[in-house]
Amino acid sequence: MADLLLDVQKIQKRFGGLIAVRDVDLQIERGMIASLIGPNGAGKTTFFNCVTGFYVPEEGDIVFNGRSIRGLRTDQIAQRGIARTYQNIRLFKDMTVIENVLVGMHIHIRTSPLGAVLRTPQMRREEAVAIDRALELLDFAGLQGKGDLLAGNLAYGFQRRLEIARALALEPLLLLLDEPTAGMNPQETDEMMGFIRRLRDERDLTIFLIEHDMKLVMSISDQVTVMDYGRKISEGTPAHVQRDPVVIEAYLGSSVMQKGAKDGTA
Amino acid sequence: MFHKNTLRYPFYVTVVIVILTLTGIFSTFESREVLEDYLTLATVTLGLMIGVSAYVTALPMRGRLIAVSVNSLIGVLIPTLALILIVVLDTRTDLTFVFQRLKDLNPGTLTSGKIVYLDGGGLLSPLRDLNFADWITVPGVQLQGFALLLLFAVVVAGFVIVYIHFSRQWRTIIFISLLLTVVLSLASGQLDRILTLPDAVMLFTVFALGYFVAFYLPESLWLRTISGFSLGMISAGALVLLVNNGALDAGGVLRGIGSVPRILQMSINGDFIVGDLSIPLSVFFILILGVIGAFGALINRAPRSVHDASLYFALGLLLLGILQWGDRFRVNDTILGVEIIWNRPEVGILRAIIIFFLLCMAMWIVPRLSIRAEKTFLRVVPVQRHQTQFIFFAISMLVLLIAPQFMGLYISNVFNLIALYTIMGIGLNVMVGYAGLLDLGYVASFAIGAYTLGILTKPNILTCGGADPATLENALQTCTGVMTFWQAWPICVVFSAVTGMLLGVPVLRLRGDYLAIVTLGFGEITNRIIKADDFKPLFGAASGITRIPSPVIDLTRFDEGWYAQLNNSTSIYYLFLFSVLFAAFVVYRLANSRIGRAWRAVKADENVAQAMGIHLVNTKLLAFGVSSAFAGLGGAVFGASVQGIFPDSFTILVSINVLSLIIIGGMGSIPGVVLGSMILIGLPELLRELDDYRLLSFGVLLVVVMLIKPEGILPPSPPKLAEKEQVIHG
Repeated sequence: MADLLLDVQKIQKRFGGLIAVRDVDLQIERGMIASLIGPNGAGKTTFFNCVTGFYVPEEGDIVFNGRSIRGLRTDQIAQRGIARTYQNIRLFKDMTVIENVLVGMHIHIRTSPLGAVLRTPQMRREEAVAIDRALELLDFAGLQGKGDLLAGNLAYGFQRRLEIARALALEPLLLLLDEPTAGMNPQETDEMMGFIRRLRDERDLTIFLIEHDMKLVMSISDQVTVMDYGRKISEGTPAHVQRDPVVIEAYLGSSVMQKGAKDGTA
Repeated sequence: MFHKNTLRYPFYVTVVIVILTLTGIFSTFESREVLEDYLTLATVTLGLMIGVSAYVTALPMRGRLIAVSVNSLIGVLIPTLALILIVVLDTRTDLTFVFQRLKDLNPGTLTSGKIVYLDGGGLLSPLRDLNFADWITVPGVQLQGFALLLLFAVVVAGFVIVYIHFSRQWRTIIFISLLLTVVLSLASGQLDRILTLPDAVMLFTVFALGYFVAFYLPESLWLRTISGFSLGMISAGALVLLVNNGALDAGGVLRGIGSVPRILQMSINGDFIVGDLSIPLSVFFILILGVIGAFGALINRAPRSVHDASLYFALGLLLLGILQWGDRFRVNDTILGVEIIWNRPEVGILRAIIIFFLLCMAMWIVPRLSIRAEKTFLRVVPVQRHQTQFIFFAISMLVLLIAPQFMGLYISNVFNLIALYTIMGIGLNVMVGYAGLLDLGYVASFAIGAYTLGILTKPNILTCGGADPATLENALQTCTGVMTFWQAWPICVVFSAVTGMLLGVPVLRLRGDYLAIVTLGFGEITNRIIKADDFKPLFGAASGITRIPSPVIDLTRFDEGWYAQLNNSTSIYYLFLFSVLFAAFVVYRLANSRIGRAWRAVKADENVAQAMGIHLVNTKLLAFGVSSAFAGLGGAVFGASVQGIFPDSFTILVSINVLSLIIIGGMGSIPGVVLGSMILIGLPELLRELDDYRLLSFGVLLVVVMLIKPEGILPPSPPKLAEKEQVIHG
């Protein structure tokens, strides 16, 4: 058995009568790039929100790094080592670029309120180290020289990168990327693809992403999971998933005959 | 020629003017003179309002003279005609039946009958003798009063037409200068005792001398300091010689107009005695000028904000001196052998014109100098920057420490009030500005601080161990629980902080409007509790807690003479000063640490902040606690300074005031809070007569600031963390 980092066991999330995620099982091994795809409204982001603690699934369990994280608060889950980005970029827009990254380091800085007021040598040392690390992260994300700009003033592509840099500042084991290339042109998408690979190779991260860009998904993923109507409908290597008739049906629509049959069952 | 808003804007302004008129603003303002015998506040207000109307109407047409003229005429005429309509209506029916404050309304009073006349023999002097009040008794027949009003409107339109063609920068400068000139003229009654003109000119000149000489000096910290210092001392030496040769006597060169200069007088008068030592005051005089010269020389290389603030401060001193001129002048004066006759009103006009031009000049030149200073500052190595900052800090502290010696009781009192609201503003800023928790019940913590002090420092059921102090003889001795101010002070702060956090617990999940409403409730509950008769033994119900002992600094065990009771506004000033500095220091340090970042992250996006590992409950509770602690500090100092606290001082108005000053000053910015409380608290104190319109002007100011600068007048500047790092490495 390979080294499992994330083991989601049959979780279910309901909103009133709507079941957004239904009995989804998902395993991610350490060092993988895993992708989650599916048509709009398939429950992908809800699934992410369950993993990061925004929602608590009614059923099932989520085991991360050997321990269950189901029911933990978001900040506790972040401390366990899961960081994420958002589909619609959610930066702290009124703070500078470097401050955004420093917020990401919050859990690694130990300064107490009293220490902050007295500016103890320990606090200064921590701050200096944190700033150094933040600058290094900004360099890594291709944001060198932009540290003192307001995050809200960055160009779109840079905002995406900053969001990732901020997530990296947590020093996570698992990085969840929610549509990292949304709104990007093909060239930017290619760059992002290279960047995601570098994340895995240079930072030893496990990456789990939601993505609509099939070219990107199929070329960088080790494992692809497909969701539709809240269910997992297929899983496997990119090649396997691409050939799976269920996936083709979900994406391209069913033939007239199949559709008729489906209507009959509904 | 016209644009789509040609009629709309004047109409809006008209509505405002009509409402203000009906509430009697002109009748109130008429009795307040801006320039003695020449200009009343009513005229200024009217001019300002129809001027604004003309300006906004004509602005889109800028560059086309005829269109601008037509539009600004429309802009002034619509509101003016509306006013005339009200006057006519008022003569036909009794409007005071509905609008009780509307009285004596006639076009003459609106322009105060004065704006157009100059002194005897002037072009428009015939108008002076017309008695407008009689004219409108037969409406429709004699309309001279209306003619005058229309003439005034046209004059305003003419001014706007010229004004609009200045560049944007100059328009701002002129407008702000005009506004400040009016404010200074209005406040001159309170401000003119601070500094005499010769003193002011002397201080300013020495400062400027140091400043401009340093332009040509190489960038050595010590060279600058020493040359500025020696320049100041040389000037001082020259002044000492002059003064000792009679320059301060009546008619002397330095006496000028007005009373005997206080600072300059140090150069002849008496000695300063410490123990057996007696030092001539002239030595101090020379040292003071030396320090000022050095300050001027160093300011050249200060960080931009410090540089600008210092320059405007120096200008402020000069203006204070000018304000004194004309208050206690003598009718005949001989300067350098020329006999000059001054009349009070003329001096007033001259003074206003000088102030206006000085302000214009300063606002034009300071930004230019400031760019220069910043370049120098950035060239300097970081170690020297720290030294420079330290020197500035030391000098500003010195200024703040000796300030009450010049301010007098009334101004110190105003200052203390500003300081009180600054403390609370800094505190509330933690909640609202940093953590984004809208608290409308801030007064609760303020009240808790004040009442804790009142209870702990007075004999009552708590401090007397359950006994009723009224039944005890010699309660002060028997009640062992009674504390001094200094013992009670930390307890007030801690107790406020703890209650603040406890109040925070149930509302942690609430955001925005909901939180605001719940906290509003807290404020009211606190007010009801301290008012309630059930708690009379402790809180005193409606009669409050009176005769709270004032803080005493008792160091007699070191020296017999070291005993001070902080019982008037100039001495309690130091307590306020210390508290402001303390609050600013703590909040500044917190805001620039991971805690401040966590607050701001929570404000920006609570969910994302939590996903970054930030513990929401702790972070928010800390904000509640810190914020309440400073409200408690403010309350304790307030209680000690007024020596009597009553439930009426702790109403929702306090919360609203503090919140407004944060919003106007700039959320999350400490200088913004200081500026905000100066504008919202200090200004109304100096312009006491406008008290009735205080809330109205608050509202107007809030709307204007929200429209023009939603982030506040002095928004926080983002820290330059990345750059700082580069400098250290590079």
